[in-house]
Amino acid sequence: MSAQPGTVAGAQAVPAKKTKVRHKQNGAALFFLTPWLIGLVCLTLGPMAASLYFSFTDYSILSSPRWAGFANYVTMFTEDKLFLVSMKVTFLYVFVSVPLKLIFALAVAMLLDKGIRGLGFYRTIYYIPSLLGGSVAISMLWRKMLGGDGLVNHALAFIGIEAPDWVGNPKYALYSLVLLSVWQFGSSMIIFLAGLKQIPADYYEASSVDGAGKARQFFNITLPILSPVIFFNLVMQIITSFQSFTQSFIISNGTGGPVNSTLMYSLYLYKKGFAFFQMGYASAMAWVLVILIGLFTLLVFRTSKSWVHYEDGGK
Amino acid sequence: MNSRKRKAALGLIASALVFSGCASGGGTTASGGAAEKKPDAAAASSGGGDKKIELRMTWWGSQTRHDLTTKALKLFEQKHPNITIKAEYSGWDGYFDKLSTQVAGSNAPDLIQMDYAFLTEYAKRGALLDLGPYVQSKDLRTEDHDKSMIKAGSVDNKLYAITMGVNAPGIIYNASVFKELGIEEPKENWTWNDLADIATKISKAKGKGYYGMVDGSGTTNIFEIMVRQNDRTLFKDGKLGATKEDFQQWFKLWDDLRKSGGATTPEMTATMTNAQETRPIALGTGAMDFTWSNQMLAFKNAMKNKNDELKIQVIPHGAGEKKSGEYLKPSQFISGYAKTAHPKEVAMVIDFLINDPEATAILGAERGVPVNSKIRDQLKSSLSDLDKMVFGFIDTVSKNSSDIDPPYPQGYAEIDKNFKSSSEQIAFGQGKMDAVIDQFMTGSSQILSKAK
Repeated sequence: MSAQPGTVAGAQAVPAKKTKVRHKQNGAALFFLTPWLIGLVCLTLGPMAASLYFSFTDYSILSSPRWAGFANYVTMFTEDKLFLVSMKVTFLYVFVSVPLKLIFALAVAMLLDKGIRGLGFYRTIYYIPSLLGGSVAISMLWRKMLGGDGLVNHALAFIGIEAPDWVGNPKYALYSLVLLSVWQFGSSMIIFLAGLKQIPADYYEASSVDGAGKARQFFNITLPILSPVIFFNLVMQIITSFQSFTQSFIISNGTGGPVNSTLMYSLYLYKKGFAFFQMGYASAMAWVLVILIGLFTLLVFRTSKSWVHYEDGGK
Repeated sequence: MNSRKRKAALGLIASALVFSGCASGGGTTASGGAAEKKPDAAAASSGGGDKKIELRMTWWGSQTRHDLTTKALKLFEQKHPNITIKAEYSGWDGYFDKLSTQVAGSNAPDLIQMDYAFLTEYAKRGALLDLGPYVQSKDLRTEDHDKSMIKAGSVDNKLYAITMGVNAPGIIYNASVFKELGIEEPKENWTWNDLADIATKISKAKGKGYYGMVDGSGTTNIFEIMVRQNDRTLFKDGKLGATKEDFQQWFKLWDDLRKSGGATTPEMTATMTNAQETRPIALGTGAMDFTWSNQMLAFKNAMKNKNDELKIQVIPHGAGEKKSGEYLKPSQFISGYAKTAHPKEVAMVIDFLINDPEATAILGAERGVPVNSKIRDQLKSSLSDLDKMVFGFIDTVSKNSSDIDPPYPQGYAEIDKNFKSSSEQIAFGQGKMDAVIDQFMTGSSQILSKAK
């Protein structure tokens, strides 16, 4: 672990006294690392190993697991229609919400970057949704607001628009989740803002002397220099969106309805494990998700070479 | 947030694995001295055993139920100073998710409020305490209980659960609205067609935004009643017992009712939850709804317009009904945890909650009409008007009902979820009714064949 390879091999070469000190230091390091190590083993590695094992078993939570080989994985791709439905819902959600959210975050960040007064204040209020967004209370509020008889429709009715029930209609329910996600643009926005602040002002001055307009500046200066930040935000948002759970759980009252239109992958996984007593199957689903997210991240990393620019040439 | 949640869940499993090793050593030896006496022995002498015993009890319910139950448990502690009971209560949502996790970690509460739908699941998997020996030793007295309720709490001829109260399904209606519109209130012999007619009439009379009846097409246990009326059972020998005709008859009924405007719109139905506060009748946007008889009080408390008068009537009869679909149901059970360290004390607490005159006076009929006939008679003198109506309704149903079907098989939870989304598919016009039914039936057979 934290013992350096040189410690043991080089022990004979160094005087005995020094070795003792070295050992003592290693011991101290290990001692101070213990809480973290216990956490790593008990809360991360252990459960991961357990869930990998469970994914090959038939495990009802209440009785002990029975070895089932690849049965769970086979069922998933051949029999389980809802698995494919949840996959479709999740992909749609990721592909719509992530770009929208990033565009919105960047737009607001650029507005705030103009050096307006009370920047700290705006930064805070735009960031608050990100802090609250995953919470149950906000999701419930959202559900109330977007319901057939909710605030949003009352407002729309006021200006003469008769709107559908946003969360009760399978055509729109997922998009109310997308909206909720976009509303939590704050954390990406803060990172964009930090990135924008790093762009030297002389680049803009020089380019405007050369006659570049705002749009030109945006595409030729802001975006390329910001691309590492965009890359980072993109990867982070893809990962969190794939795992999205709370919002769909609350807005659909735990059902993923209406007609499974908000049945996110994580929600279905949770239902399988904790409500339908199929923990083995749920574990298998979790591993499929891990692999899926891994693949997507890899894909983004691969393509990044062609669109992410580092000023030091990426070295 | 999400990854943290997942980690927490995984961590739970891991710690369950780690700790179950140590926990299983506890065994059943600790139940010694304290429990050697009759539970109803005089309060003063119950401190015979010096050993302090702590039990945990879990239940779901409304605030009213939490208050009443903790009050009754306090009384038990007073009578048995060596026993303390730690209450762990919540709402219905997530209750069984948490319980299954606790059982997996060998850390479930000693006393568990159980539901009819989940009894088999838990009993067959060895999570529940066999109460038979304690009935024999008279720690748990059941001689005054309705026999059908003993049967309902048994799985494979072993008694795993004691009924806390009796329930029956019915239609709750707002009698004030019927009066206002001059529509005759439903009678005991009404049929599904009558229901449809009345609902449509009310919707038309009240105008936009008001519905005669809540669309119940996604509610599995009301569908079950129609299946029973056709002299079949929803499940039979671990397979689907309802036939395609049953499903067609059911979904057609609701399809027609939606088209005539008598039932709530698909959007409204989809966003409703089980909480009474979200139901049209409470919000003042609907006149009729399904209910379980013990929920009348909760409905009354949730009403926006407190002056409206609520009444209950039996579920409508089928046109060519072969037998009565109505049945008496255990509203909730109470069970012991198989691995409890103090099984005898668990039996004592159960006995106290259902047979002790003082405890049952506190609990009243909030969990349904008591199963102990002596307790029932004792309660009758102090009933509120609403409770009187509910007691009367139970009497009506018990005269004209058939036996409850065996508890639902393993896999029910998933089938129940699929039934709801199938009903939504039809309501939103996503797919032909016959195709949706076929798909549901094959899916259910698959689930049932796996859940063994």
